[in-house]
Amino acid sequence: MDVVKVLEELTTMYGPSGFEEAVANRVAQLMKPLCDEVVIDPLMNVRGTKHASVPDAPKLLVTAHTDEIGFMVTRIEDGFLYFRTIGGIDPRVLPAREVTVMTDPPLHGVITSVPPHLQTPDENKTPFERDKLCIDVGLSQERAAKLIPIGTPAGFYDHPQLLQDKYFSSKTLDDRACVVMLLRVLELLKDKDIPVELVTCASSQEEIGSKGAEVAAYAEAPQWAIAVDVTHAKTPDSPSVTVKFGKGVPVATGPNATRKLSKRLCAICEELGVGSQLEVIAGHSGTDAWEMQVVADGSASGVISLPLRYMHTATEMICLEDLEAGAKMIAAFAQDPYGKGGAK
Amino acid sequence: MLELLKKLCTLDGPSSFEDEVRDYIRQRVEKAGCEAFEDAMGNLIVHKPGRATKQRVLYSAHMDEVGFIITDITEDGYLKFACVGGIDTRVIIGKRCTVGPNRIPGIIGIKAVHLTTPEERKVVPKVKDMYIDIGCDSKEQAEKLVERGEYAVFDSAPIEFGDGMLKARAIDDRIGCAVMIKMIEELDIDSWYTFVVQEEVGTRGSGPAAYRVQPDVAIILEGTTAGDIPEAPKDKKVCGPKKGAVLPFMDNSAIYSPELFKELCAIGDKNGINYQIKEYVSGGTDAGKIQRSRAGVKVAAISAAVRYIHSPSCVASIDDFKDIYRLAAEYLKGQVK
Repeated sequence: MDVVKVLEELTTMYGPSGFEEAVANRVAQLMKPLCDEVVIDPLMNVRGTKHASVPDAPKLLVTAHTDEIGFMVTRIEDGFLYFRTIGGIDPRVLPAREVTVMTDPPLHGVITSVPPHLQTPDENKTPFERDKLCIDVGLSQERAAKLIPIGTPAGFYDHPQLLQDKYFSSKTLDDRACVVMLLRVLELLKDKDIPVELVTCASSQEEIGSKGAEVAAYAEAPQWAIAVDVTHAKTPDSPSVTVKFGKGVPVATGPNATRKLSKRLCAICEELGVGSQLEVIAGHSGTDAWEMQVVADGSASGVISLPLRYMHTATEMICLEDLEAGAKMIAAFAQDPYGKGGAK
Repeated sequence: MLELLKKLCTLDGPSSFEDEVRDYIRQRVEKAGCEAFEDAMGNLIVHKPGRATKQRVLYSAHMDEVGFIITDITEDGYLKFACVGGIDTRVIIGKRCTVGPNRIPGIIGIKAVHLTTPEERKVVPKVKDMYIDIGCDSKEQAEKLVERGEYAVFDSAPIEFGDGMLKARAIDDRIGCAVMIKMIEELDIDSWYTFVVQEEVGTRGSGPAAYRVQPDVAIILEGTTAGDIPEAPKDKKVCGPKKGAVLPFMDNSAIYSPELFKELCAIGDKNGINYQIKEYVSGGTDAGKIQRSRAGVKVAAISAAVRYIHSPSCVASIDDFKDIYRLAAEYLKGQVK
């Protein structure tokens, strides 16, 4: 699999929470040759199963979400689209940002901004008011109202970029980069016997509270439920962040990460020589693991992360080595979940 | 002309870094059989020989665009920068840029919304606290790719959208350059053209260029601020795309020749060319410097209404470009002896 190509393809597709169908269909296609069974469920989760080579094997469910943050058109005035956001977006990244309005065919748009020449002095010292921003689709009121039903979703428009052949930047790396990581896990395990029933799940509606993962965990009733999601990587303006690019796979520890599982995951990182970065999370991990942990009779949960800069902007950025390290680690866990001695 | 404009909008040229734009224009006009002279500042001056005119007519447009200059490189390999020209910090946050002629991809980053406090989200970050991330891990690595003083520009490819709209960076003022190239290629009337540098840092290039040409009349072809968006106050709508070429009676740099202004309106009326009169006085153009060149020059401007000017996503109407060309060309035709 050409990881960069798949990243480019999946991150430039559109799928705000609740509108994941196109992405789900494509992910299902990519999973099919690598799994024994693939299903798309009513919430648009894509669940691919690779059967265990032994009977009565425990089940491992690993999720990465397909949905993305975005917008929804709430009102059209003078041809300009007013919107609400889907998921958390810093309004300061919006002015002059390009978007794709998900009509059929899609429409290109630009989020408005008052140019410097028309501002009062000091006006540029405070951010544009979020509620006054709208999307310019270059249409008259009549045409816009005809082409764009209220409630139409929209997503960030941007183009992917490779930086120094080592880093990759695009929109929606949160969390499609981790979907690609799961595909890479399946590829690493191709033609290999594994002692677990492995379910890789491209989950829906994570950004609005892991609604997809909740039903996926019910359907699968796994022994282990692991969320693979992005985590903040350090930048100059975020000195409190400890996770860095290229310094190992971030593994969570805390209430949402069953301790024995976390320890095993960290141990695998050391065995593989990829290293780990322990992420201490005091409560809600902000991932699918939070919901999955308590579904039905509960499961041992874990969070494996992919470091990412500029989360929830159109210029998210990852380190390609980190994606590969995470994939190797998950594949190794699926092959040897208990480690030496095999104690459960 | 649309294809030409789109091409011009992909070339890099922040003020004083106009080389790519100048080289491309020179090649086009030389192919059209004209000589192009580059002066000491980097202005490109073109004389198109042809049918004699009643007076010496100059058309002027600027090649430069707003952008960035790299001021420093941090220990971690991030680039610090300053803005070249008037850029509102609020439109550069979280945008892509490319650094230098090798177009090294970069990101003007901002930390994730999750890591901000509500108070922080009410504050516009200062340029001095911002940085460009080019994916380098150390100062040493970054220094091999980028020198201090190198330029950066928005990374924003031209896209046609909506009903006949174009989004691109630098429509201000590649539209003027495109119109002039077409005039040189298509008309056979004696005329002068200056493709000038450094408009965005204080209309620096146009004065010296006009001094050399010694025109009687000068028409500035520009991209101008459109305020026809909901957020702009009602009294600052200025002009808008799709309403034709914009004719200003004045701006902050000059009161245009009333005679020329009326003449251009009359040409528009007579030839059925769409035009709109600018309804607000904002910004300045090269008109001021050219007007006061030598013993004085009569000036007028024909502009394109550009939304979100000086941002990575400038928006203008494709039909307007034709109106600007026709108005500029019809004026020149009327000057033939």
